[in-house]
Amino acid sequence: MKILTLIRKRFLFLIPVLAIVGPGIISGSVDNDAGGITTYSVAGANFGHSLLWILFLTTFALAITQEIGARMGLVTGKGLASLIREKFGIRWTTFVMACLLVANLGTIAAEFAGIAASMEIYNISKFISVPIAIILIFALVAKGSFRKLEKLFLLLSFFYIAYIASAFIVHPNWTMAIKSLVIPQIKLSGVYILTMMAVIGTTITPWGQFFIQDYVVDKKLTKEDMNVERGDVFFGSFLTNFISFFIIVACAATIFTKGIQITTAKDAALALQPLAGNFAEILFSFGLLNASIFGAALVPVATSYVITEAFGIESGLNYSTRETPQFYGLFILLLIIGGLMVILPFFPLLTILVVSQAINAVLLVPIFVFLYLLSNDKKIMGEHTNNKAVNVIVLLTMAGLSVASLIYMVSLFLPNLI
Amino acid sequence: MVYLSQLLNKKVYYDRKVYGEMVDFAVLESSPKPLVSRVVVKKGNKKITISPSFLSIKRNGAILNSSQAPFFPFDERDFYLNEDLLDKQVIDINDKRLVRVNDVLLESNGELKVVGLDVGASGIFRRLGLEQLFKVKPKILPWQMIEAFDYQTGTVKISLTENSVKNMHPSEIAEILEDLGARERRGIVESLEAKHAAKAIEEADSRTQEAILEELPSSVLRNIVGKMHVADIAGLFYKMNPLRIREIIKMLGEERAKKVERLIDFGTDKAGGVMRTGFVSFDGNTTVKEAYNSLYKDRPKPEAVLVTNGNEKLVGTIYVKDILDIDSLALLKDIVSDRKFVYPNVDLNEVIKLFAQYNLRSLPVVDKEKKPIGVITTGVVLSKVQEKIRDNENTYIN
Repeated sequence: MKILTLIRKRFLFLIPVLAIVGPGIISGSVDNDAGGITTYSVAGANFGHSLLWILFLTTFALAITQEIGARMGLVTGKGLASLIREKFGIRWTTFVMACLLVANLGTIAAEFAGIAASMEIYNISKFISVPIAIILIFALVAKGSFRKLEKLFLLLSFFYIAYIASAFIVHPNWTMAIKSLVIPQIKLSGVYILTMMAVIGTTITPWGQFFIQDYVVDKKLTKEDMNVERGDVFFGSFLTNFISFFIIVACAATIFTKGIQITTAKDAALALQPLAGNFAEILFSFGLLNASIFGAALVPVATSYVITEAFGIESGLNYSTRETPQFYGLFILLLIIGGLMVILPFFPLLTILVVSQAINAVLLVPIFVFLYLLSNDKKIMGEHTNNKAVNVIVLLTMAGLSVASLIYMVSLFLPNLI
Repeated sequence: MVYLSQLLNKKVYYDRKVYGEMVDFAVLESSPKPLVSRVVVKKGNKKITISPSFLSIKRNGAILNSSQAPFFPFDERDFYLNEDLLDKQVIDINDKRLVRVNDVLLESNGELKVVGLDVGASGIFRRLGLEQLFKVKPKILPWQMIEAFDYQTGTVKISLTENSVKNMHPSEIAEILEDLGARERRGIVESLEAKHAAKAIEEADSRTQEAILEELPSSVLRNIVGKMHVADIAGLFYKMNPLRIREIIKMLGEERAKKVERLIDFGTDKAGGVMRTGFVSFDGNTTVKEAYNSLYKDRPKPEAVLVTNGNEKLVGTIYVKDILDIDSLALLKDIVSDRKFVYPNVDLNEVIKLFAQYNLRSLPVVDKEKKPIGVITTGVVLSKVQEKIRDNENTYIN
């Protein structure tokens, strides 16, 4: 009898946990999208373990900023865009939305580049794969079947376990890898700095910041859920970077040690060879395609949602295309522009994938300023404003981001200085 | 009319010197439109509030009239347009998120009153200073439609359907319809009973009438035009899409369609074009008592009745109020109040002049044989006068 009550006690707490777990973990998993896989692959393949310390630091920054977003959603019941609009007025809102639009267009282009790259492994041209993807995604979302498929995409993203397995099979130098997590190493080369920015920008993203808060609001969670939600967000942030760690280690062990520079997605697939052998390419392209399609649907939806929310236009997936033409219009426009950036043969796919992530990192700075101000506003947050430790981490993150962005800008425009 | 964004951050002058800056406006809940009760002026780092009666507020700034104006400290508990209303979310009664308060429309004749919320793109462009670049028609949500304001979350609750609109007077609804965008307008018209909707449409200006009749689905339209005065439909004839008006006339049925067609021939700036074809007439040999009994059943009661002789020719008009204190056996032909009439081709300006000159309440329109064919009422004349004033204003502005 005693044992039974004990068990019941033990497991009762799981019921609310199961109902709420989601936003943080989903937001975390989606972070490992096309840009994510590629950036981590490039980081490991081209720079070995030397970027792991960045990954280590971003884990904390991600956890803290996502927690702030979730907490603001829980307390206010409003999205970040709403709060910015109501507190800072239309001009600042327009500025933030412009930043977000640029960052997200880059991300959308990256998702399409991921689709194109995964299909190029099978010699399918981007001129075919990208337009088909645009049509497919629009149909999925407009018909309302996207919500049902959301879970399938998430489930399929467990493909990342392949990296963990692959990493263990090749027996990398674990002590070295762990040490690299905490010992900073900096190489003053343009490519290194670009990759560093991309690692930051693919882990913490502007759209992810808006996404987590909107998701919490959409789920109608309240202050009572705060502790569970905090755990969910922390776990989600840890999980995404836990996987990123293994992608980098696997790529470092299989590609970096052989001295190969990766230039196409095909090269990146090498990291899975220890596990999948000849099927490595198929496994990799499948994982990349899944992540890319999921991202290519989710990011434009989230972008349209946030922008229409900020400017006060009826919107959301619960409305039909006729009820909110602006929402779906913006959505298809984003798909087409993102797709065109990939189809037009100006840049190699890999460049789009990595540079877009770096742009994300630069545009994080202004968004975090608003995040910081809003989450410390007593009128908005009441007793749930940030505590000192959180504020210190946010300020350090902003400072770190600013310095990194500055170095990145210098490396871009004045490459001779470095 | 002035928008909140056109007043915010504008300077306040006193004695030709800059005194401060208008940063917000406190309003008092008063029916039907909230009244601006205090203007918040930022003077240096301090916020003070001044009663608007001491300020003359213009679009490019305000002038403080008196150094004796009493100042009040800034009170956070008041309701402020900039702080509490601007940029907030508008939701409908089912908590569905709709639009945002992009700007606030104020009426400024002597007093500042909130007329409605600008929820369209025009408000955004105006506040970004891009209104010259993107000319968009403002989309105004009239204050009458706002059901509640949630001070806790700062959201504005509106009801587009149900209660509030249904209980309004047709002329109030007409005013709302004139301010609204097509979508909201349709929502309101369709939520009303056909008779109520018809009345409201008749009260609206011709631009709005035309737009509503143009955009309604035919099932709803059939019921509404069935309840409208033929004169109002005829009035729209030359303004509307010819295909659409033919469709509408078809819906009216043969008898009423004929009436419309007869009216159309006169044109809307002639007496025949504005007259109502429904009227009450009595033979001159009817006694007051008989007329009284017959009118007893009529609803609504006419303001005036026409009196004719044995050949159905017009004798004159009797105002119903005039028969109240008259011997009940008197004959109508002996107590006619007024003998004026017009022919249908008389110019509208002449009609207006007659009404003004002789203090008329009602004027019969007769055909060549002097048989009455319609009546012009003061209501019609007033609305025509109003239209003319508006036209003049517009030409003046342009």
